[in-house]
Amino acid sequence: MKAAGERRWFGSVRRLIGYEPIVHGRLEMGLLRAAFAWVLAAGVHVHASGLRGQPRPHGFGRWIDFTFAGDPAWFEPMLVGCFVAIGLFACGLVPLVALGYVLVFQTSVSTLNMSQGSQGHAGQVVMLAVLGWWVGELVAWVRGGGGWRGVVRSGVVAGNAGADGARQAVVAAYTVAGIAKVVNSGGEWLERSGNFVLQWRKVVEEGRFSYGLEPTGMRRTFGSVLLEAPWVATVLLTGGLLLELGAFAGLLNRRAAILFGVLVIGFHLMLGVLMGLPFIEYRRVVLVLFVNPAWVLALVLGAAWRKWGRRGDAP
Amino acid sequence: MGGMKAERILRLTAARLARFPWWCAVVVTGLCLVLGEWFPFSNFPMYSRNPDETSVLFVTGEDGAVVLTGHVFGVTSSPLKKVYTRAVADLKAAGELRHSSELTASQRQMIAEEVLVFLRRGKANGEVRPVYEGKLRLHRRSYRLEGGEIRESTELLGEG
Repeated sequence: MKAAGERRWFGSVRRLIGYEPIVHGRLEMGLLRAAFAWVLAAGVHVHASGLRGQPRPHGFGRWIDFTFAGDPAWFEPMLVGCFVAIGLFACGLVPLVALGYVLVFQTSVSTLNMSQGSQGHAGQVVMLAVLGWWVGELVAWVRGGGGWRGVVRSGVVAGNAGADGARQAVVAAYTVAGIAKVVNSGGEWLERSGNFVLQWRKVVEEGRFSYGLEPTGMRRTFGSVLLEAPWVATVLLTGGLLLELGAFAGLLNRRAAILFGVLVIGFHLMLGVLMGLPFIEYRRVVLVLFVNPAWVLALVLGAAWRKWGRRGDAP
Repeated sequence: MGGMKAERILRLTAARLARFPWWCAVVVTGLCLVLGEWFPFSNFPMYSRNPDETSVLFVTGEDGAVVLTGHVFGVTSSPLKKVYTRAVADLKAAGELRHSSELTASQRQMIAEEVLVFLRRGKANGEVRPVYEGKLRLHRRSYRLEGGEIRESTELLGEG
């Protein structure tokens, strides 16, 4: 009995950590594209910044003057183009051109914003995912021998390569965040976890000085908890660090991807409630690429099609 | 001939890359670490230090009342601190400063002016905001953990 139980347990672990490439069927791929397009559309800068210079050039801003991207005369047509590109991508059309355009548009606008002297981190993870998808599709297109057909329309193989590239880029972002914590703190990040209450206080004060917000409910209680029981911060930060450094495990198979996705989203939600740090872009991209509701929807639609569809085959 | 050769090399490279399933993740990780802050790449340094002391910047008007920067300028306190930190880092890189606690009054004023120029530039977000005419004062409030309690201290950085 005991041996059978152990075998079952090891079997479950093996199923969770065994490498098994994630392959999306045609219907799931279509739904995944639409969901990823939603992530892109939700993260687009929709207002011209009106900024008229790059006092502290950031990234590509050192080589290119992106001031034009803040001018409404340029920005508005570029924005329309961006939504058209996202629509084309959702339909599986001209994927390399469409994603390339989104990448260039968002990089132009974000680089101009960051060239004002303040570095934000909201949009990077989504754009890294776009870059990963673009590279994945490009490699699939080259491997398939190139040709116009692959440029005009994305097939299931290219789409799978793209989605895989996007997942890998997101995993890279989380891994880098974990490495940064180890390196920037001189390896003492967890030892210093008692100081985390200062970060909580900082976020609270930023809300107070920016909008006159006072912490309420769980956010308010969290500060006292951190002061009285610093081990809570240690547990929390250990979990977060392990999740980031172990992000590569999310690429092992579908089950590992879902587990990684749920844990990451749960962690972000918790930080949202307790610290007021929502990281919405991160949650959206992880939800679509790792938890992947498109898979469940495709299974349901496929089953419905088999039951009630005319041809008797799932698409 | 040259075109065919290039195509073959490209195809072979793509096939080799695809043989290692996580090549994209490794490349992006490497680029993020090497390039640092270079949109869309980043070394994601948020909350990576857990320092013994932290601080926020806030702004008051001439009457001493706090100006809620998010409401008035569309800019929250966090980006102000980032501009401040960067200006301090520039002074250190130029050899004009060893530690931020050693800032002279003129250096503080110079940094405050830069931060306040950034603040007045504001954030459009589709809203037309009235220009804030009055003089602004920039303050820095620091927080330190001592004996299980958070101690705070405030200093005026400058005005503009």
